Amino acid sequence: MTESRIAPPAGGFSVFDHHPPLWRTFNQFYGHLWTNGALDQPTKEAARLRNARVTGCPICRNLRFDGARDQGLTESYVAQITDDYDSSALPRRWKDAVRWTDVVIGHPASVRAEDRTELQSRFTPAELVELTLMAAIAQGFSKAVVAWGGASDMPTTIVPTPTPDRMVTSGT
Amino acid sequence: MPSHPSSLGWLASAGLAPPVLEHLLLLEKQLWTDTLEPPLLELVRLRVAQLLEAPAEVARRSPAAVAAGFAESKALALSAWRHSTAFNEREQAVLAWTEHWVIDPEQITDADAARLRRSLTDQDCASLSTALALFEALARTRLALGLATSGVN
Repeated sequence: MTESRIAPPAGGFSVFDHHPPLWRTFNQFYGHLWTNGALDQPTKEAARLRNARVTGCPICRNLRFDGARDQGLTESYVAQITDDYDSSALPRRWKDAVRWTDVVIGHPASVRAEDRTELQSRFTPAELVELTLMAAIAQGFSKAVVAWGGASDMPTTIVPTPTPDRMVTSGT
Repeated sequence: MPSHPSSLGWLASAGLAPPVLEHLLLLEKQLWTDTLEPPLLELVRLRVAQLLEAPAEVARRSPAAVAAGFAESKALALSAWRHSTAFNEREQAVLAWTEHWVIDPEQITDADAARLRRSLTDQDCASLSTALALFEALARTRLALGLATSGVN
């Protein structure tokens, strides 16, 4: 584990705790994204975990949100969210989510129109925009962990799915 | 839903669920009114957009930054900021951090962080981290969804 490049304030977990009002607003948004959106939680969780592994966030890749797990994204499925996911036993919908996440967090300026069209045939507009935003937001906060350092791998930890009134770190 | 001159109308058009959009708008508004000075935030937002090749985000200007006197000359010099005398040390430290963040945060060094922290308070670092996460996410989302060709909000 590298030493953190900025210590969280007393009682905090990360750099974001240095601006409590802003962090609170972010978590309200993030809670709505998880619980009041259009897309099912396992599909969002597949995207979040794919990003966590690609971006290399030691916290994010070991967290599991209980809503997705309760709805079928078990650990045996999570273990298949690797670079070989396309030949795995993941259901097609989750493969789609992983593939699209790679596009979003990779080089989205070069996304092929046919790839987008194919996905649009299997996701509603509301689902697709939410999946895209989830992957992108997850990447941003994974990058924060990587950039500021100080985090190390932890055991797989199941936490309550974020809600507007319950931030992700309250369950860890 | 709060109504203010937001850049996020394209997310509403794309179908983002209203409760999610409403709270994203609140986050964006707070970012521009209660964190770093808007002209500095605009430099960050524009540099992220340049690096991601997001033309619609490069073309627009955030109203809060314009109202605060954002210098268009800095936008013109931004892609070559390392060789420009238009940017002070605080801006340079933030732009260096921004580039590392977007391109590969694993390459950030303790020296990079120390340089940034000489110019920013801890609260500023939280603000910048939130801004980077949000600006990059929005640019990536817009590009991936193919909503990146328009230069207007």
